[in-house]
Amino acid sequence: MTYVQHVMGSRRALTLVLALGGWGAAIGPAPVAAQDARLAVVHQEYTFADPAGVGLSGYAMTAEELTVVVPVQDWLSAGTAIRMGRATLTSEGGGQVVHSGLVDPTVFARMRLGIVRIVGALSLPAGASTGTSDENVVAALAGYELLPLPMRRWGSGGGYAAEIAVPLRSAGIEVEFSGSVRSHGEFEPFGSVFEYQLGRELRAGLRVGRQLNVWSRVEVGGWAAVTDPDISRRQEVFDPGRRVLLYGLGAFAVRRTSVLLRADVYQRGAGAVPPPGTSTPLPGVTSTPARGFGAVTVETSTLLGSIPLTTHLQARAVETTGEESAALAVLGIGTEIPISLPVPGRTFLSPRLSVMSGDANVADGYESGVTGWGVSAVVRWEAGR
Amino acid sequence: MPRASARRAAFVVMVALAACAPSPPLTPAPGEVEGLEARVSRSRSDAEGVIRLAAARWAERDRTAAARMIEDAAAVVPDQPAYVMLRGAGRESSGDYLGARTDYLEIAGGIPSPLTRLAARRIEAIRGRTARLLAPVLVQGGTSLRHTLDPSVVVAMPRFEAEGNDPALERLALAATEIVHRDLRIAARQGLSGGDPEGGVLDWELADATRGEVGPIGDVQGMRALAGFLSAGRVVQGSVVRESSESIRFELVVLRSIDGVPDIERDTVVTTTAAFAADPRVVSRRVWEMVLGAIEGSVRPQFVPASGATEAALQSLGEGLERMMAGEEAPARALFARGVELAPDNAALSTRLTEAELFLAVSEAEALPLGTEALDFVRRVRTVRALSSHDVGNAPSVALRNGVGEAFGLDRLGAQVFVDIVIPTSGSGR
Repeated sequence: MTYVQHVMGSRRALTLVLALGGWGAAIGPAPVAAQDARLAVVHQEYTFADPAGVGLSGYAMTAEELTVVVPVQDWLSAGTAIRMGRATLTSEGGGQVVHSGLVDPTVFARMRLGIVRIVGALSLPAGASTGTSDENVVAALAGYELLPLPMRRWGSGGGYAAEIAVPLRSAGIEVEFSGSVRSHGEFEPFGSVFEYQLGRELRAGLRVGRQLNVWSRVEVGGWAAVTDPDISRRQEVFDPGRRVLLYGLGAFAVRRTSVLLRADVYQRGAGAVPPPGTSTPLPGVTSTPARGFGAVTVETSTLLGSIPLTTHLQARAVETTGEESAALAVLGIGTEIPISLPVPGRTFLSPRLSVMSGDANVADGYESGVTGWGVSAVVRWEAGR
Repeated sequence: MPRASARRAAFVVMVALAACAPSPPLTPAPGEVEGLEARVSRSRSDAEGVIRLAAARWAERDRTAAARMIEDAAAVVPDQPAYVMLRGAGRESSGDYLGARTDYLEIAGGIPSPLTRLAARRIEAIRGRTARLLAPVLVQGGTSLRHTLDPSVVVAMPRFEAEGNDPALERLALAATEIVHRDLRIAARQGLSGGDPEGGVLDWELADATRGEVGPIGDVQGMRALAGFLSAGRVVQGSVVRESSESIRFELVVLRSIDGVPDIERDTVVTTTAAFAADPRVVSRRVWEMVLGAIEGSVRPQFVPASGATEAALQSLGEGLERMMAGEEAPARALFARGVELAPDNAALSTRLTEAELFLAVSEAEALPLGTEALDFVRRVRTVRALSSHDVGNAPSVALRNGVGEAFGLDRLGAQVFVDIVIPTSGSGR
């Protein structure tokens, strides 16, 4: 295995860990490879220019993450991911509502059997899964795809996930087929009013990549998922619809600058409540229109001496059929500095600063500009080998 | 200057300075060595630190320490191509040509990069040395050659033999071997499918050294034994006979194995030394027809045009090859250089001159180019590593369901309606 294949393998493994362990949003750019630990702190704040139009004047989130991966055997490693966050929503009138607490902690194992890669993850139902109605409103906005938030949800009843991936290589082309299942436990979002269980998701993925040479790579891929209906009080209450994600990326290095170009398209099907008479509706649960999301990312990393300077430019757009359309530009700058700690191995600090600006058109013709900023700091430790 | 313009100018200057900032050189300054030692002792995977520290040892003429440092690092981090490459160079400079060849082959088979090209050049540079070392191993059954082509089309051609005790004819025979072998290899690469980068024609040095190991047995028996040891389906044995002061005769014997049954074909080409020197294609074409022309799917090649050699140039080529085979690359380089002066367009001479210079580079011209290339590799791979990991951090994280937000239609703008009491901070809640 070449060094680059090793690197790319680590990256894929991290993708699986993030996706399976409930860690859908990576904090910062650095990967977690085998024998690594990572501590990250992220803070973001958004301000809406026309609070009356969108129903809120500000939204802020602070998230912390600790991930540790330990090799057990050559073919097996295990790890844990612990994350917590605090979101604050400022209403149109200036009042604030806070939702905070743990995300369901995750333990995971990843193994390689022949060419097959398997990841298993278990999320413990210890996250902050309940709150008042207002706190649930605050927690719900974390799922809004337009904002590049570091967390998408808090506790959701724990559960398990498993993914199997089969990478094949022929004539310099890498093809990877993958399939996964995610299942959740019950949780009580509104105290003991009712329990709720997210539907089991089955996902199939395909990735095709080609390393053009040591300095450049192209890759396309995606996945499609079907999800069982969500259940409450032993009845189906919401069918979230099918979801598809497609992406393409090209990465290349020119002298001391590396460039990443990436495009993502994500489609979330319409959500539906069961037809009348088939089950007892859950008050507040409604059919939801389909939603599309797209993003284009340009990332550069330039070596200044031995220190990399990274820039990040991303354009994001969301459209919810018949309801809203919004766009946001994100500009970030960061670096990675080696730091000295009295432990074996190497440690790096990656600070990053971001600014965001965009515009949102919501239902009934209301419109509001949105601006924001964010800072993050990641400390990454690699064991000496 | 307006403030905005001043800021813009400052930004441009910063970017320009950043673009021009040099990377630390391969060989560290004396004041850096202590820091590098501490850095490497903390992490063996710090390839840049290991390579620069080894370069410091090399510069101090402590080559043993430099080689050991790389050997140790390569043992701990076997996936680091730069280590493997430098370990190969260390082994080469200490005379372990087979070990060096193993390292270079590992690099050369990787994703194309300056390092793989460097490894391929070093394999060429030590070809003669490794052939002599590999031959007894092959004959003793210690290893086998693996070909990407069907073995039946693989050709082995030891050096042409010179009849009689005539040093000039022996040098001419060696030069003829080199030129015909070169033509045959290029033609086979063009004319045979299968993708073998060598076209299925084995190094003549390897065939020759193996022939020498086979022992004194008759022509056909010897050719059959050679075919077995080299896993070759076709063997060419040529000889050169001086018929008169000007005329020479090439005797060509070809052994083919057709469905397991040996088939022998013989032919003769008569020419003059001067005519052969000016246009060796007359022999190359005949050899092609005998060994590869009858193979199904083969395409008659466009042989490289004659490159204007002279008898004197061929003598320099032959004598240089004799010296190289004796392990005397420095005088060989001088002989090839003289030949290039006599026949500047002759590709065989210029290739051999380059090969001799490359061979001598490791032992004479220090390992600076090697180390610089390896360090550059480490640095560039590191940036690609950082880059490749970015798509994880920057991939839009939309995969997770925010279950309640989705089902209650709250995961969007314009849906934030509060039903509980909101704590007022600067006004009343909605």
